[in-house]
Amino acid sequence: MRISEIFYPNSLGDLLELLKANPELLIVAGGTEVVGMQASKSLSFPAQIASISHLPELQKTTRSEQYLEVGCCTTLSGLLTLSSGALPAPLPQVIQSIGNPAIRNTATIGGNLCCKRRFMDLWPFLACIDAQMEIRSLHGNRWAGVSHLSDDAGLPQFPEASILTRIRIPLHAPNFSFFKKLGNSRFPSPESAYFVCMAEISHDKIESFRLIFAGERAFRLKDHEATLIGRRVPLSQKDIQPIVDYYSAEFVEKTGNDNYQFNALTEESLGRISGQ
Amino acid sequence: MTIDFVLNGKPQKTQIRSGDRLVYVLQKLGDFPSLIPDCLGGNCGRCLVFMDGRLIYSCLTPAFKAKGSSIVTYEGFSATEDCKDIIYGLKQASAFPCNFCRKAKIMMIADLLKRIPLPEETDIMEQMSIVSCPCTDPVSLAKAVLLSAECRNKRKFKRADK
Amino acid sequence: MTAKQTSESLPILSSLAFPDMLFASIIRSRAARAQNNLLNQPNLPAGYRIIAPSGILAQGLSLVTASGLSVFADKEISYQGEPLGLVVGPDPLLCDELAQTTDSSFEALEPDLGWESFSSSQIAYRKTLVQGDPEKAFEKAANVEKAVYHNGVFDHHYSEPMGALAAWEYDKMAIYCASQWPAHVRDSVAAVLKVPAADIVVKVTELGMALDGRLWLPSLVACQAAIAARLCRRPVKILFSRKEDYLYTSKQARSAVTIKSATDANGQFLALDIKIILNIGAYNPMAEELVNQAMSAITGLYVCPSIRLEAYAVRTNILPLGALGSIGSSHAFFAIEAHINHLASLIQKTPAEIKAVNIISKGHSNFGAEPLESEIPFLRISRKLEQLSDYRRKYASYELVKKRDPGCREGIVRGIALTLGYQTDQSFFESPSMNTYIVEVTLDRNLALSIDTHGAVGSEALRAMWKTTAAGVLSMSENDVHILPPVCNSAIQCGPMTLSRGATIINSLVERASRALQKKRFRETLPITSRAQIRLPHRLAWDSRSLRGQPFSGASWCGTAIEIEIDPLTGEPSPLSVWMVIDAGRIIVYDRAIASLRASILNALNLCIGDEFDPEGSSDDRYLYQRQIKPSSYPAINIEFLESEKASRPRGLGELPFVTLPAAFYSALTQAIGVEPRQLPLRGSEILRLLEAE
Repeated sequence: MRISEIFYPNSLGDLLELLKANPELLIVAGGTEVVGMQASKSLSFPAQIASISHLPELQKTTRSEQYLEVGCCTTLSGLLTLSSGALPAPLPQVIQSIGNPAIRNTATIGGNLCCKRRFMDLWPFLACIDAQMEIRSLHGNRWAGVSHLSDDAGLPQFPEASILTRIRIPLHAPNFSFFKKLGNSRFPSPESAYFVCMAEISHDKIESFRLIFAGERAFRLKDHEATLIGRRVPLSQKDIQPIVDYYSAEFVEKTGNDNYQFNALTEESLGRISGQ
Repeated sequence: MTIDFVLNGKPQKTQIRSGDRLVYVLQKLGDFPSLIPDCLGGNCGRCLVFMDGRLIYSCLTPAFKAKGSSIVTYEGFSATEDCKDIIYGLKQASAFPCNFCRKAKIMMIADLLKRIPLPEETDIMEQMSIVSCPCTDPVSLAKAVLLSAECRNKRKFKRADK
Repeated sequence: MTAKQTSESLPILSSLAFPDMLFASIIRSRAARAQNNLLNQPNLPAGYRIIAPSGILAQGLSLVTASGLSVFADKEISYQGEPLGLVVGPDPLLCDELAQTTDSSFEALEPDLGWESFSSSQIAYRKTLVQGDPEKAFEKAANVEKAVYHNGVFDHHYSEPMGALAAWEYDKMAIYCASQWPAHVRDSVAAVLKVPAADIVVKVTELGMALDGRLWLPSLVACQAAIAARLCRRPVKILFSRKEDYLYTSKQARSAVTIKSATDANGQFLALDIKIILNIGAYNPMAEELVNQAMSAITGLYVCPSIRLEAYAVRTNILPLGALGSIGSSHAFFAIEAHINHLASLIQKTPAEIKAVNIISKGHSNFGAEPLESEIPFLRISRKLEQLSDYRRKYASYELVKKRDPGCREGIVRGIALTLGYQTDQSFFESPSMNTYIVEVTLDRNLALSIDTHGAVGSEALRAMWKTTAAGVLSMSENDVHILPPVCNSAIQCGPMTLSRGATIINSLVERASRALQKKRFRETLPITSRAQIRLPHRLAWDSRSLRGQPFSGASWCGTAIEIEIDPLTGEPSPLSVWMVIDAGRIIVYDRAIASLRASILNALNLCIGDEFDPEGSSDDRYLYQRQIKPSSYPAINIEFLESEKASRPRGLGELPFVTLPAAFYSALTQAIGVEPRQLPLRGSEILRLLEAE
């Protein structure tokens, strides 16, 4: 067993100092991801680990009229216990679809977003509703959209020597949302993915549109989303089919996956938008 | 490294290695037959403990995370009235979990009743996914949860009356 | 052993510990096929040692068990993961690490992985049976259909990973392990240690759901632990990790069943040509039995004047594969039921109608077996099942929907199917002594009754059944009846606990022994003991080797219907309802029987929707995310027992869901998607692909 050095920083400042000294530092909040994917009795970690779940500043929850701001160490169970209406509509359902109550007691929102091997359940939703995240490093802090956690190739990315500290979740979600979790295993398997489509429909017109498919890779066509804005609903089958065909071809090219489920879901979500 | 925590009400100070899973560390600290590390992936539930009041999989928890926490195993929980209510409920409902998962299922029910004193069927089914052992008929198990809840609430209600 | 230590508190191997106990981890082969294997002994920390075949032989011990199994691969390696040796030491975690890093040198050979077409050297067992003149019948027939049906490799998901503990207890070696066949463990260990069987005591630990996966494999692990304990002179425990258990324990054999049928316009069989191929992996001591049971089951329920039946157990260089409940018959049921489903779609009849015209009836038989003495109750079962499940109406309406909307674009993708099946308690082991079962009951001075079975104890439901039986005969409270932990410690041969023998044979022995004790009560001084014993071959009604006799003697009959729905967006099938109608003789503890069946149904359904194990390249971590039905999506389950005569003896029922559900699930899936995938399991995306093709 490789012996790692474990740090329990007393503050965020301490943690940032540690990160500066050890850029390879593994930050562990709940630990479900880093431990859950190891099958051996002994765990392997990088040379340095920082345990951060005890830091109160990373567990704070504040709420304004526009958004809810949660610390990265807030557990998924903690999010669910927030008063009803504190989370935008589909989010409680999404959280409830993650693992089971005991996993959610340990897993944190920060861990769910920062997973390096794949996209977990929360990311596509938070990206769709333009949630923001605070990234801190010794050079300062900055806010960015959580959509930046995906690189151009659709793979997970996170800036080096930085830590995600807070997540700002807009309380107003688009008035149309459709989502589906793929795969029925308890833990995210290579086949697991989330399909999310959200749109703001106002006066029979699409005001905003987002469609994200996220599993081991993220798939989103931002430019194409923009071309749908301003379209009148209901969309006819003649309107829907070219959109589905375009998405479908791009999906196969960008992800290399088969598109049977993706096509069915895209067609369904566009059909539902039209049904409004 | 050495960490301190409270185990079943007693302070503990123990040596751990960075790669130790909490369940193995707890096993070394005493006789805890309820801890049967098996899947090591938060699935079978045979390592469930309460950490700071929350039900967690101790196999899925690195031991270093236990620092400063308070942990209760089934052995610590079994003497409580809450546990007796659950055992009563299981018996009344003729729900007989196997010897591998009986204690895990009791912890699972205890956690549910603590959070939701009057659970509905959807809550029960959701909670059942914590312990994957399929030995027990889910209908009997759900009945057992409701009977345990009834027994627990009656007891607590009476006490409040006094 | 004391009367107070009862099987209600059987030890769990994971929790068992002895003072000074050492742990052993298995060093496994990295090659699928190789020869001249040599372990490269690494530098070990103090207190750790490697036990390799050469060292074992040097100590005068044997590497081969009484049934001819190799405890460790010596010169030849036949599958990846085959045990090569052990690392023994005080820390189990370190033993694991050392075992994984211990290297071996070998000359790699090209592995035999092909099995649907195979060479003669790969045949472990083959058998051919012919009745009538199939060739002539096929020539004359108007409707001839041929199809191949595949069944995947499934893991047992044991209640506890495989393991064993060996410890010296006075002058005997005690073996603690969860085995369905303690006598096999004892004889195997005695053979490798080269000591008399009487020097070995097997103490069975909690078994959980074993599904015939713990018939012979625990004996090998027990031998490994025993060798280590003997060489180290300390108690030694081997306990696989869940990952190791998933990757290296025996699974259900992979099968390909080719059925060519000739039928008339009503779907009645005129001729059948069936070829069964079972891929048994590197080896399986029960290969012959798997083949025989599959052959018995495939035409068991249906009559046909001309049949050619050919079956093979084929060896390949993958881990040993074998039984998962019902020893081979589930493959056969799956294939024949799927084929009937296929015929139904061709001749525009319901599968139930085709079954009705072909079902075996009184006075008929296949392959010269004795004609059936009485009608099997399938008419009653299927009527009841159709009524409960509303089968005919649903079947017709789903067919209509499918015709109107072949690609299922309207979103209603449902199917319903009805399957018939049976399980028997028939004996199959060669040696008569292997079919001996003994029950001893003792009424002690405190008027507590103890039941000693000398065999493995199965489920909680089974224990409750024995208690109820004994308490009923002796008019005492069930609370005063205890079941002793099973200990195999004498020269008495005990048969394996399989094919529901706990519910049938042991229960009737409990009854007999209790009656004998009742006669002695109030006459003799306490404690009073009485014993009942049975040797199965004496009353064998069916010989699956020769296919002679009464094949359905002691059978439980069952009909299963299932309604499933396919999510049109993800393709994932989910069971909505399951109905079972069962005739299993007298039901002793009704609630327990229902509860136990419900749990078995959910287990069997998990196999239908779960992931197939890929023995040639399964991902290490696959076991972590096995697909399962979430408790919130459990189907409604409705079980009914046909009223049997009160006097009829109880019969087994635990395997009925495993025998009938995969076939029913497949047939319902086929109806829902309108395409015959001819294999199980299927992923959602594959189902969508099939739907789109349709």
